[in-house]
Amino acid sequence: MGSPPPSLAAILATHLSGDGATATDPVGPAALAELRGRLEAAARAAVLEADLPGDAGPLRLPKHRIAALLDCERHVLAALSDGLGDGLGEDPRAVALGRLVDVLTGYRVLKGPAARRDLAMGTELIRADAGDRPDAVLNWLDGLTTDERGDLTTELDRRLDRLLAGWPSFDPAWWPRTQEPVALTLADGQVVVSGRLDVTVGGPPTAWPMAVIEVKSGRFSGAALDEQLLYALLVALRDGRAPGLVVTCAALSDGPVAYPVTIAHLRPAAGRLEAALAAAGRLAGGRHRPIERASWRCRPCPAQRSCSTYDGR
Amino acid sequence: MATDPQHRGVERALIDALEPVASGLPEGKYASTEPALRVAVRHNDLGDAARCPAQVAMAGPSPFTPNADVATPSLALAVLDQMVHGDPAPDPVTAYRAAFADGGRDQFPWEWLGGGDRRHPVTTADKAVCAMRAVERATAVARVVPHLRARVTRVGERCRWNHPERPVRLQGRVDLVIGPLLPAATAELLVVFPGSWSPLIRPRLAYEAVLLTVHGQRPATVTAVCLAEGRTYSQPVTPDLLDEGVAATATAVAAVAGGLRKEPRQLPRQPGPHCGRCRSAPACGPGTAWLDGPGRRRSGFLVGSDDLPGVEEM
Repeated sequence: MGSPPPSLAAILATHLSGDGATATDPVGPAALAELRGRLEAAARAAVLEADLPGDAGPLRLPKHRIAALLDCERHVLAALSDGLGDGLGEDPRAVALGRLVDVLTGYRVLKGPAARRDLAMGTELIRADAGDRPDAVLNWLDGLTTDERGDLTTELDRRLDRLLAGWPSFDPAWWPRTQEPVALTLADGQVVVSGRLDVTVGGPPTAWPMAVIEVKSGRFSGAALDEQLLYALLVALRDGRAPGLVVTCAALSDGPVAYPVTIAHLRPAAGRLEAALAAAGRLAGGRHRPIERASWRCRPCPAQRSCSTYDGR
Repeated sequence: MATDPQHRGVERALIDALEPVASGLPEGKYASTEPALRVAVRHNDLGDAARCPAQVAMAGPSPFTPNADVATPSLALAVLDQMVHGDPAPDPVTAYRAAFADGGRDQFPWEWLGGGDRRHPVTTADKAVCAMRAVERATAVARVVPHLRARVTRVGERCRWNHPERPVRLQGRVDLVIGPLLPAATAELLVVFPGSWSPLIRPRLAYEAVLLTVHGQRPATVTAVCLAEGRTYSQPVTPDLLDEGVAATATAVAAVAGGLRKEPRQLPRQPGPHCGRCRSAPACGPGTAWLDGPGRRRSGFLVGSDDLPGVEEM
């Protein structure tokens, strides 16, 4: 039996050791310029293919749309025409658990180990974050019965217990922050790729390289790895320097998964983004048949009866 | 034609541009009593009005409710102030205490965050969300604007202008100032936006340049700091930019006044992706036509479902 994986506290202690002055850039400006050039070309091709009217605004690719487009273009169109909106038919309980875990881990970063992390606190954090805006998760939470709230409380406690074991107290000198937005603008502003980083420490103007910590309420998966590397790519192109480390903490997996970022990680992330840009251009242009791919999205998909690829999952 | 660069010339141009809408408004006093109807244009009205004046008017004046969205910009500025003047790392608690003790500026958020607003009680979650956002934004500003402490001379510069004869008030806010604010156009004004660049940011920058100029403190440059994309966009304050600012101000005053007078139908309708979230779109001919245009519904997922970029304040 192998040794248990290192805790987040141990990973960050190593990453943020010393004064950071000796940290080197593992990717370098020439490699980043090459990736940006590839993405610029893909974005311009997507804009041409989309052929949107001049007043339509930019093509927007937040993280969840990139994943959806690469999973199945047909599902994206079917879910939209069926009124499922941008959630694309995801299980509302899973979405709510994900949001609760996000806000409560953010609160844990701010307040330290003594921070409250129960369902009531999570709901209030979501309410405060939503402000005057309608919020589907809040509506769903407000509609739960007492029994359903009890079940959700038990599940949330279980996941947070596992997730937050081994988390450090976040030293203010690390400049810890939560829900940091990151965006990449391409094709003279006609394409915007964006994401939101759950927890970040270090990076400019501190001396340490940035560490990006992603929080998952479920298991670590290939999709989580893709997401982690997309974030590394967006930060690298935003700051002109790749983050030193990406870490995913998944509640239902054993320990954090951490990678030092290298060009070998950023190249496949750029490749996926190129493919998503091409898909966005195709869908917006409407001149091609959307590509079908079987995935977990088949289960809630409104097009499953007429889809030759539907695999019955 | 370019405007006279002297501030009196800009103020005259502003008064002239506002006359078509301001002349129809009842006159009001400014000194001791508020008039029954005063058109108060705020900095964040500029982008909205540039997008669609009718949409601003149809939304009308919204009741003021304190929440984390409203309080975060002030707390983020207080954190930045602390970073510029002492603290090496962002610390929302120290920043809040210093701002509360200071008292004079932005009384609202400090009273609310301190639990002193009985009509709108603050929750622990409200305070936590404000603190988390303020730290994130102040850190991002320090990342995008290097050497903050050495360069920034003022944090949170506010500016007001009252029309000398009409019930119109303009309110502006610049997040950071680099260099002295003098008539000789030496300062750089920085306005922080959490998102990425949008053409709707430009009228806001021009508006701030106009407001400072009519106060005799014409800036040399106005800069948008777009946090999510980690970039700054600078515009030199030229007579043409001031002309743009005057025109954008007139558009915003007309939009806000249209809402107060409940006359949105007389305002220009500028359809676009924002129609997808406009409550008035079903009753708006151009909006409905835009949404029903070829490919709109299909491409709406890709272009129009997100928050529109960057025009909200920090």
